[in-house]
Amino acid sequence: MKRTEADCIIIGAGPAGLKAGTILQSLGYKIFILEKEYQPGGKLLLWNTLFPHDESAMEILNPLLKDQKKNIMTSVQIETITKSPEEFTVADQNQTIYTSPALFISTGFKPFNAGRKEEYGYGIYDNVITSVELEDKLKNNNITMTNGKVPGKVAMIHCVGSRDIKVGNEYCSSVCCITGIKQAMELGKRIPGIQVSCLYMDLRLNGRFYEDNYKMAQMSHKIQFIRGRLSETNEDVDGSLVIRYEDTLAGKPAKMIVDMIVLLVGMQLDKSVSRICPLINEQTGTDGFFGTGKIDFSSNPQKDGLFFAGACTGPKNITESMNEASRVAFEVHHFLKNSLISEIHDRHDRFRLQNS
Amino acid sequence: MKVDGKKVFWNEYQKDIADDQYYFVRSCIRQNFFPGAEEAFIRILRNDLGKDLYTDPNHTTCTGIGYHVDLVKLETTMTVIARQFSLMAEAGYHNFVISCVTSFGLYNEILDIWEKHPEIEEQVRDYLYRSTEREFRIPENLVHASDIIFKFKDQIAAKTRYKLVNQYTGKPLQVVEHIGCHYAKIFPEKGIGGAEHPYVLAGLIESLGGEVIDYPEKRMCCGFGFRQYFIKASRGYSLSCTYRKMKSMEPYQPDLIVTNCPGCNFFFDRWQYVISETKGETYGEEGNGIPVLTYEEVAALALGYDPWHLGLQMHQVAVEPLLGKMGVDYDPAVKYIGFSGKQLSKPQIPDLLKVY
Repeated sequence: MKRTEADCIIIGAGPAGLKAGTILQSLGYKIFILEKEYQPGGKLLLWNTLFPHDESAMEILNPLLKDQKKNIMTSVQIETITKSPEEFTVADQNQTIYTSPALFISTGFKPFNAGRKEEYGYGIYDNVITSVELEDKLKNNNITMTNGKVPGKVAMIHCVGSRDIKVGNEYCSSVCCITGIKQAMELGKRIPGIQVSCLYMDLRLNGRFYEDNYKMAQMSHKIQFIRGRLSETNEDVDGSLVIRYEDTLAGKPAKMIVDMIVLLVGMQLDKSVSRICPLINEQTGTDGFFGTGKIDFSSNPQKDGLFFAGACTGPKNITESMNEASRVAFEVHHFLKNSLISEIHDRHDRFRLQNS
Repeated sequence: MKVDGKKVFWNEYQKDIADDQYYFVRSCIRQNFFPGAEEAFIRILRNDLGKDLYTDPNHTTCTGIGYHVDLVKLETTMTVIARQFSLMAEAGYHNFVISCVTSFGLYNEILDIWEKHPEIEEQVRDYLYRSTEREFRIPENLVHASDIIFKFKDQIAAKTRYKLVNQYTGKPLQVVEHIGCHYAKIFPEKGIGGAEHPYVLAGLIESLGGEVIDYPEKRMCCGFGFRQYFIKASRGYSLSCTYRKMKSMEPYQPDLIVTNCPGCNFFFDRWQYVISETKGETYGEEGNGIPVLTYEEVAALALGYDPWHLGLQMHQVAVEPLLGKMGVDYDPAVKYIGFSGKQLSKPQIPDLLKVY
């Protein structure tokens, strides 16, 4: 059994975990970042470019990785997490034990399983894909259908697994609208003459430059925005997809025939850590994410050495995830500093007691 | 289309179906539309599968159609259904099998009401006792008759004389399966395979050697829709729904339509004639229609039952092209000879739709 001590263990090597690691390391703390996947980077690895400025995902990720390379342990399957008054103890599948007074949870999100919206045809019809799968196609510059042809007409379906009582996710995943716009423009740039229709519930574009993207999508790329909700997908005899939806502005049912459907899947908490640790699990809010989401940070669970940041505290874009990670990293710093001061005081008191 | 994808859903929607000792409640309308269908079910269960199935002359309508067209009050319907349960207990059975899809949906709806509102169940117990001095017990198992055929589909397939295979080409017959809306659209978990991609008939068709067609309007209503048909002024909606479905399945050149609902069976069958007269269109080969059978009729045909004993001459669309493809041994000369040996009256020959 190998035992390793640190000031802070970070679980999850996505943008939030890496950012927090960079800050804590710069403040002189010894950290470990435990990652369950074989490669660090979290969901950023799945992305090609990022809204709103089409920045390369790898160009955002690489500097973070470079700083933290030696601190990251990959393919770590955490089996237990326990807490004593002094420290957290994390054990992995190889019986390696990691201990630290602070535990930083940045386990991120899991894309919504689009198969749960059975009526949308994901997993059944060939050319129904998710936004994650489209991003992979964009990354590999291979935007083709299963028959090898390039799609001429694409429908992008917003709010898949978000704001949906039926699947139990009543919250807005906040980044899908702008992701859809970014991907629709990307399709427009790469496939001349492609017709892309976005079927949205509401367009929630509250980030900086998001409205510019929305305007550009319509003016430069002729993306069609339809306020509509998909009710069902079917496949026609020629392999095209027949979608039935409600045009919620006209208040009428409508039908559209397309070559490909992209489901803009929402975010859900990745429960891999909360499942094994009741202490962490009990910090889950009513929306399924960690923490209370209150403005008053003192009401958050980030005390007693347990900290949360990134998409595991609610849907976020990369900037918001890293901003939260930075703020929480400084909370970890205060916690460790106060712990150290308390320890020095205790030692001093003990020394005086022994010598009095 | 990915059939494996459908299997994922099929695995998720399983339900308990009792093995034996069934209390069978008939449909009000099936015996008038297709008099041999229920009889075929009873004969298959008793003679081919050796099951104990009780048909009770004392049970009544469930009031489903009256309820759905607002003629019968919910309280009345609930009391009538409570009486059926009382009859089941009196006969010494626990497993309730329902012939009609409308009834199946209604029984499930009422059981759901009672589960969520026990005070309503208590009230109905009072109504039943005051009106009939009866008490009732909720069935241990409540299923639709097509669920039973599904459960024993492999046993049936092992005994078949004919397969759903075209004897001229050796290829599987192309079959449209249509599930009554009230089978699983109200309670997806009550249907085998769920509401979006049901398996209850698809499984039977596969077991008998046929191939299921997935066509774009597969999930749409057959056109019956109580308010569409029973309100005379709305019958155009009923016809246009069926027309839309026929046009949607036409390119797949179906050999057969199988349904599990009395209304669906009737309307696919009868409206094909009306469409031929009004639109001048037929959907089978060379002026034939597409034969429409119930699940028991298909199972019974495959088991070698005489088509005329099954009452297939009561179908508007001639079944002879299907019998030919399946290689069924039958005597065309006795098609309109009744069980008594007397000649039945023959239908008039339509202008376009071919009959034999």
